[in-house]
Amino acid sequence: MNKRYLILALLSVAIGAGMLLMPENSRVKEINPDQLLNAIDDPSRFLSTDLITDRLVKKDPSLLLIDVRPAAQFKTFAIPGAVNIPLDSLLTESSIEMIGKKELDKVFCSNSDLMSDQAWILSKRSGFEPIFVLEGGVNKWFNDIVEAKEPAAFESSEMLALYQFRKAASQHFFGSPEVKSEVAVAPKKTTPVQKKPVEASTGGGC
Amino acid sequence: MKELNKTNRLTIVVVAIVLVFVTGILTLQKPDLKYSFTPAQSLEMLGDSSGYLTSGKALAIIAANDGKTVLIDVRNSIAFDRGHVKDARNIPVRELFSKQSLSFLKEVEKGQQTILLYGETPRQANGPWIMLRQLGFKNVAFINSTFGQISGIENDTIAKKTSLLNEVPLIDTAALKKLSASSSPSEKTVEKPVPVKKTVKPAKVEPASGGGC
Repeated sequence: MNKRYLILALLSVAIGAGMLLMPENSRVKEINPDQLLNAIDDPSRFLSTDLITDRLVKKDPSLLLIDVRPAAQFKTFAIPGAVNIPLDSLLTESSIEMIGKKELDKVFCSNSDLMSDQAWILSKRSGFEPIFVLEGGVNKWFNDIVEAKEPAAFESSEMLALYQFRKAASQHFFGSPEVKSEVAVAPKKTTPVQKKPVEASTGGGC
Repeated sequence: MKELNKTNRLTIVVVAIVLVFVTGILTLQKPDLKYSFTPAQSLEMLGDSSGYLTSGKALAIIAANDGKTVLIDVRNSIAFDRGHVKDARNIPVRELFSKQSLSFLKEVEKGQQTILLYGETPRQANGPWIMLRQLGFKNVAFINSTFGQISGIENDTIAKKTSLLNEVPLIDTAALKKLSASSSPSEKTVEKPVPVKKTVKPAKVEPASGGGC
């Protein structure tokens, strides 16, 4: 009888000890490889350059654009409003503090979207949300916004509206486009007036 | 008799509790996929350039066909059926961790062969590459170019934009300078128009020939 109670007591102590250890494991927010693979296969994390530009222009406070390129490249050119966290210092304490902000939409960008996607995958694994990737990266952004090309005449009015939006955004970030210095108009060459020689009336007479 | 029933109940309860825990522990330790590296270690691994292959190197390896590499096509099966690199095996991204593909990949690893991944774009192969590396596969690389480039498809619309796919800074610094310079007023240089001399040749009036009586 007593022995059995003792066993029960020991068992409950063992359970208690087990319970103590259990939360330690689940406290790691890390998502498992299967979940991560499914997330990788889902392209909804890629946000277009126009969408991001729109949010940048509107100064959306819930947007945090994270540039993962090396600091030197970030200095040469960066999307206005972006924050630099080089990929190799992605998991330092100060960076994690920034990426861990739950109320912000973190958008990674790099030159293309390869390095930024790598940053995304590792952040996703560590359980950070909500995170996104700028599709095409800084290169595409520069190509789309700064060097926006005027649509051809046959293209739809939507394309024209998009172009105007891009152009306006570019002006918003970098000031008005260069005023074409008035090239002095080359003086028109006045063609010397040559009066046709009056043809001598041939003949005549009576 | 009463005493006996009581003890019986007690043993049954003890046995039941033990059973619950044994099954719990057994299901917990079910062989599951686990990362071999912490995120920090994985991050360091990304800098390993041996994981990235340029299209030139990849083509050389495909041409050599020395049995040291196994090509894995991570695109979906429809795209794979439409065309793929010779001797490539199709493992779509979503099926990468199926039992079948994992056992195949482990065999490749055992056979000292390199797993070479490719997708429609470098980005598509990038994810599976990181995943396999994190699971502890050592000889994994991916081709850092589009499928069109390695399979030699002409008129490949994606390949034309490869500059936007690889991590090469493409910022036109000249255009950038123009932008920053635009804020300062540009000096206008107006040339004075050069007066043009009018050259008007007086028409010669030829003497009327003939005439007169």
